[in-house]
Amino acid sequence: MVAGLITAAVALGAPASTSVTVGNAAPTITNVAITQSPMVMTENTTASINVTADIADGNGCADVFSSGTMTGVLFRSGIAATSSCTQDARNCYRFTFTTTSAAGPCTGGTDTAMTVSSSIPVWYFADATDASSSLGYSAQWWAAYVAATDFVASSSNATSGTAVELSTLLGLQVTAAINYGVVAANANTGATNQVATTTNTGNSKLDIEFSGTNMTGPATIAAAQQKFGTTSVTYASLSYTLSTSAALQQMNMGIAVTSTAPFASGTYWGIAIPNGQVNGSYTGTNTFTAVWSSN
Amino acid sequence: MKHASAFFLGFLCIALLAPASVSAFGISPPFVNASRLLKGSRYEATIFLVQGAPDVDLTMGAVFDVPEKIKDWVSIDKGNEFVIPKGTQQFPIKVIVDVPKDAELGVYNGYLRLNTVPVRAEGQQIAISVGGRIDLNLSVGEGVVQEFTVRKIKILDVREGDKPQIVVTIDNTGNVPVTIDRATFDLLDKYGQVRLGYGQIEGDFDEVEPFTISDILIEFPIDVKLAIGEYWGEARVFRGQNVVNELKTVFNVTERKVDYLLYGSILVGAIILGIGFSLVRKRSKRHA
Repeated sequence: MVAGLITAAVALGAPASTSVTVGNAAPTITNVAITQSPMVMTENTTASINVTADIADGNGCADVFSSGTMTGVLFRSGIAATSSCTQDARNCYRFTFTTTSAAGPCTGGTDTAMTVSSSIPVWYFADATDASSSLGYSAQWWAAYVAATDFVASSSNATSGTAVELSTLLGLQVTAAINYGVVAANANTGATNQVATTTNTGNSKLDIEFSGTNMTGPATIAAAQQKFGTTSVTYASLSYTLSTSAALQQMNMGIAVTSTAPFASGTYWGIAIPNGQVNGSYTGTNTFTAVWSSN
Repeated sequence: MKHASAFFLGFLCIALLAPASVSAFGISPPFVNASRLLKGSRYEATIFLVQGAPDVDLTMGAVFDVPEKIKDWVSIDKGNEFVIPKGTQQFPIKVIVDVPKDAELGVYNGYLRLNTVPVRAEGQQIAISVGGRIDLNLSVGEGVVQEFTVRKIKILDVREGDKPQIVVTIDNTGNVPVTIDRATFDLLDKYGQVRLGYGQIEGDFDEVEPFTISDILIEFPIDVKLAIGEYWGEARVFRGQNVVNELKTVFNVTERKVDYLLYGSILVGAIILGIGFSLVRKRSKRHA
């Protein structure tokens, strides 16, 4: 939409002269879009999510691109004040457009339209809104809000019309190895546990399935010789016995709230070596499988 | 191979402790939900396998844990072992469901586990494989109603040396066979305070036919040999992630008595057989 005021004055009989004052045209915004649908997160880091919008200004796109401002908000629909929500890595990302897309550049001069684009780094614990959202946001979605202001501070805004889901991400990080060191035959690790730290690197609550292989070396040590638990106690008091088949344990791992405060917890491991076990070095693999949890 | 005696110390040897590092992996989304599948149809779901720090080529192993009936229906476009190239943060795979033309109407649930295949570093004793579980929720046909309640749980008294057992009563009010997904059992001392053991069973239960009420017997593989006495048991049964019924109560472990009647019967039977055999032999000799 172009709004302008044209004034022409013609003095009859006088030498012909014309003058015009070109008024300001407020910018218009259309086609606000989140280009990834659904939005897929990457564990333990950010994923780049693109927001695009078509912005036009009758005074030339440079009136907005070079001389004005173009801001945006990527947000979960349940956030009350979409245009003014506080930056929160879980549900509200505020950003500024600084580039145009190759398909819609702002060439200046009489060019009035452009397509702006911004890549927003969205953290792994951003709220999921799909059917498996473990925070109960499955009835919501993500949207983008874009506002543009031109040289004379005339502004307009628009919100994306298509609901975009942010997918549930089941992410788990675990200490890379467990080393029991030297353990005598017919003895166990007693109160000396090995700690495997588990960190939720997704946006879903989770539990963990544990399983392990029998350890091999000069002979075999059964997986069931390893025990583990969620508190540091003696070998005999560790709650769970490792099995070669997956067994689910309620770890109740919550979701990070900020990028500097991931949700982590420890699992404590011990082993008993049977009497008569052949000397030597034994190795095995323990498996930690993340399982979605609603609570 | 040299075997250690009771006085001989055997050692697990390790030269170096492995450097501190982590294994990490993610799946998005962790579900394949497909309802109203048609017989003879194909369904595909895209799942992203993600890593924040894809520093190396990552070998993945995939294992389907599904009912025998649908083992041949499900597959992955990349196969059951594949490599995610170094530098790839989001790696899409397709989970494919091929429904046979003669498939039975019903609800079929199972799991797909995707885990890293770790490369053992020098000095590592236990390498860690990390992964995620995808829940498969499939239903074939229109008008499938999967609906049931767990009416009650009963913890049975058992004999010394036996495993804990429970009976779960299921009322299937839907039109397809159903069962529970998981059952857990906490074994506690006679005061109900100290946990002595824990067992769980997943996805291997008898099904209850539509519109019937039926009992399922579950025995828990607990590595505690139960001695005579009184114990507390806490049993929970699950549908998916949800507890659908639970019970905490006392049960008894009783003496394993010698069954004199049984052994007596066997003895009498053996004597009769012996007499019969000798009579036959005598008669045979006489004829000879």
